[in-house]
Amino acid sequence: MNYFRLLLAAIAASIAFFVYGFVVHGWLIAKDYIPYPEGVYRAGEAAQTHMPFALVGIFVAILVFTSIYPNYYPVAGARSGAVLGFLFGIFMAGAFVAVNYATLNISARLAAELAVSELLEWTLVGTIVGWIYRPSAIKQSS
Amino acid sequence: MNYGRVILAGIAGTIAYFAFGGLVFGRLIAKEYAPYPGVYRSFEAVQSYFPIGIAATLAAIIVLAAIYAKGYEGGPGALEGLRFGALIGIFIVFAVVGDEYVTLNIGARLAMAMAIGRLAGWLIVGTVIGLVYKPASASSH
Repeated sequence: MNYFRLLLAAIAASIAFFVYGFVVHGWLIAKDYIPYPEGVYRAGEAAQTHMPFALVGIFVAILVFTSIYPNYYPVAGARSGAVLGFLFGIFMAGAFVAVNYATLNISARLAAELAVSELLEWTLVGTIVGWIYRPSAIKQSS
Repeated sequence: MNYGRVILAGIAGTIAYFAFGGLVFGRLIAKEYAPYPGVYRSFEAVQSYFPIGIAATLAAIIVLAAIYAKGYEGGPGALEGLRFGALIGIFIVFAVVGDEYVTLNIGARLAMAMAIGRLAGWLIVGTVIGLVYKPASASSH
């Protein structure tokens, strides 16, 4: 495993994840969180003080995703990365968003937007990881 | 890839997921959810949404089994599955529980309980997937 490339891919994908998250959740669908200001979701300042947990958490999660990629998809490239990312997106939409829809006080509209967002977000992460990660030279030549 | 075994592993993993989830989240740490009635639906309300949760989780775990099958290169199924489950468990703790702790109005105690519960749950699901999945050539013997 090429650890340097793995770390580089995880850093790049994390940056893309947060840029995407800011555009989609902080702007495009931000108004759909408004019906839940005090109940379900933290208000602005409380969310900001907890933000470091999200930054570290997502980076570790993407690092795990990146470490899965070379083991399960030995052919490196943006396309194979996108496939793994898309599969993770489906997994996240089912195991995370749908379960949250069943248990959290949120609307079907917000849940549907979150599900689509997970799909796109993890496909983007996978594409970047696949694009940047390359197996080590020793393994490539063997 | 042995598609029949992927589906079977997904179904077995889902049964394990809900059996474990019912025991841990529905009984052991159920009281930890009580202080947050504004965040979570009531027990009665959750029942009516449960079919969606079950169907989506089944689809998610079948996809997980497909990812596992794509990378399976032989070796003891339980151990390979446990390793895979550990990776997925860590991924879920940081991507999902971390996100929920940041965005939802919940306390650190509940977040910690969910993190431990989910890590253990995905370890079990991974192990079950590893035990049930067999490559096409192996399952035909």
